[in-house]
Amino acid sequence: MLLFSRRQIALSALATFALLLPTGVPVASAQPSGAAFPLSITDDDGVTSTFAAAPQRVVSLNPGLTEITFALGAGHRLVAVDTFSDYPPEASTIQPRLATYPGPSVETIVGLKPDVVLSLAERTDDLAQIRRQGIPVLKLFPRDFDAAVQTIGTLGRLYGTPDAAQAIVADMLARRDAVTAAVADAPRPRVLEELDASEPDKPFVAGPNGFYGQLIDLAGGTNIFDDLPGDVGQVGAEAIVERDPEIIILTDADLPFNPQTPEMVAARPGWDGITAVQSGAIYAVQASLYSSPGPRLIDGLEALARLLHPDRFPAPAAAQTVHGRVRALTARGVPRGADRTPPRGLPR
Amino acid sequence: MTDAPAKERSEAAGARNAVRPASVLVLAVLVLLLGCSLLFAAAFGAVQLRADDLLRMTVNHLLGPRFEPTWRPQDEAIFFSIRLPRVAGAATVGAALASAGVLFQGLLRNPLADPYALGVSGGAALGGALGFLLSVSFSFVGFSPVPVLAFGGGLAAMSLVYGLARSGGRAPTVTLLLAGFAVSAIMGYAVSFLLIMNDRLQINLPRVYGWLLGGISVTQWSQLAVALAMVGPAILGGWLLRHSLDALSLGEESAQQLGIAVESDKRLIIVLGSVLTGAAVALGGLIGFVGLFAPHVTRVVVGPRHGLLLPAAALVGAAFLVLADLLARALLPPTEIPVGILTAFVGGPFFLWLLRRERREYRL
Repeated sequence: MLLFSRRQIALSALATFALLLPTGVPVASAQPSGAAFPLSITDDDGVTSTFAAAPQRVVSLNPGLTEITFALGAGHRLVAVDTFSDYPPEASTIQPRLATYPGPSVETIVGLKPDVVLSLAERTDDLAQIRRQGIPVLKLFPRDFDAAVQTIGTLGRLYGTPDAAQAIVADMLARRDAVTAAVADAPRPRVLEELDASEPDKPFVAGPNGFYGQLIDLAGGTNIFDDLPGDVGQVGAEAIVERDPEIIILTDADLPFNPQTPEMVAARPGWDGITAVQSGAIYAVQASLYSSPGPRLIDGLEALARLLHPDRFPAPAAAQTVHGRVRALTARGVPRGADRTPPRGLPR
Repeated sequence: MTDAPAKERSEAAGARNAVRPASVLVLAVLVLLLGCSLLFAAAFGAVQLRADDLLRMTVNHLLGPRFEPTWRPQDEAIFFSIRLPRVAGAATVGAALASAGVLFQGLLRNPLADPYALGVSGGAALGGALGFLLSVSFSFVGFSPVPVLAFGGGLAAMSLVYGLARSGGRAPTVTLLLAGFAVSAIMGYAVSFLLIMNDRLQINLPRVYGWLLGGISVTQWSQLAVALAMVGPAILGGWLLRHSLDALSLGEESAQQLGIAVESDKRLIIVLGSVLTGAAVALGGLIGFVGLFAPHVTRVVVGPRHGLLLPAAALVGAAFLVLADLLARALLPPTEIPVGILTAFVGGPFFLWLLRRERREYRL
């Protein structure tokens, strides 16, 4: 079917393969969960930890890992989280809350006697010190959508809940495939995704890598800054006007500092000639859906795809009248929660 | 060496004579240098625009449509709304920092004095960090919260330093320097503490860090008008105090004997330096090195007399920062590099080379 690009097929195949790859323990849902232990997991630093049983006392040092833990029904096992873990709402009631910059309090973590510590990007030295106390540490640092999906599978095995993980993974992959299929033959609009505009004449924007850039790609857009060297870069307004985005996505509308509105963007000097400004295609989105490595990434992808390709994702009411493929998408929840009006004035 | 002060004293006394032709020539060359760097910086950037298009575009802009556009509509926005304000901003900030450096080096008789010597860097950093922390967006004659608070913080710190150093109607130079260093350090570490304690700022850490390295940010001509209204009169005011500055370089007692009202002139110099530094901080954050080395480079070439040194250093600083900002914009397009990194990398080696080349002993 030509609706899929070769790259998308390759990506899906990779994701499926990667899920099965790391430990040789299949994620197959038929397997009774008790049989999976003792379980060895190799983390993203290449360190292998072996677990005799599913950990009951868990410390999570990243909101994404906290979110996955709750999604897998293991939220009650969290004995400490980092200060940013505020989703789902239950996560914000967990005490203690550990500051992770410049480093987590190793004393506090060791004192909690956890069965495992989940880390995204903490310093190797700190993590080694925790490991020396006999506490296993898993450093899970997914850098793109597929790796995030894989991390959900890994944590599912760790918590002894592979069925729940498999359900989430299957849902995320199916919805991802539905989005890419729906936009596969659509023209790819030029997209600027702005992450921070404390200095409006040189904002930080999404580069080609990482969640931000990859979601633009999957949602059927062309990132005008796909030539930046990393996930994020600071670019000059000259280059933005030159590259003339057709759609501007603001993930800095719900930031606690210098939040931007579409009106503020449109009023920037020299920006009035930009296609997105002239057509009013400036949309504020919920930043956490695009930056946090968790199950909500798929919500972010769907919301973004709807903004880039409104014609491919009709509103739910209209979906009854269109042909079967789109109705099937609707049933899977593609249009859920998202409508064409940009969410403005998000609560903080 | 021993008779040098005497020679300088006689020069200082004779400086009330008319401006020498040599000075006019030096200033003319420097104005030409600044003009060239402005043209150069306007012609290049992250986006390549053709020089002849730029000329025709400018003619159309000034005299009404004379030429059929051979350029895209967005090229005009890039040139007139984005690039030119930025270039003009860099020149203003460079001139302000270099003049403030001349004033503070003359006042404090210290070769390490720069525009931030009296606590401005710490105060501006603290104000700017609070600007990142604010939950509101506002615009004050085109300035967003970060520059407004950085400006306020810098001036507040400088007033605090002057207040602390003053005792019995005098503000001794050494006390000023030490109080400036201490206040700057306290406020600088307060920024570090804020960054560590505040969850919101943690997320934004790379942004705050980038801002602290300095970068020209001019989005509206109104910002430039405000800055120029401060910088122009302040440089002129400094020039009117040139004889006091020359006399102060001999020491406060000698200056007193020459009939200079030392304390009131010192206060005036601090006020002028504060205005210059504040305007620079508002447009460019904390750009290091320009205010330290532009006065020195200029002094090596034109000598220590402030009547020539001050305007010459302002021109050198302006030309230098315009070129440094061009590199910040155009070196790694589309990425912007904090200009503070470039002022140190480009200006530092040049200054060291000049210092080595100058065989005779260098003095303030």
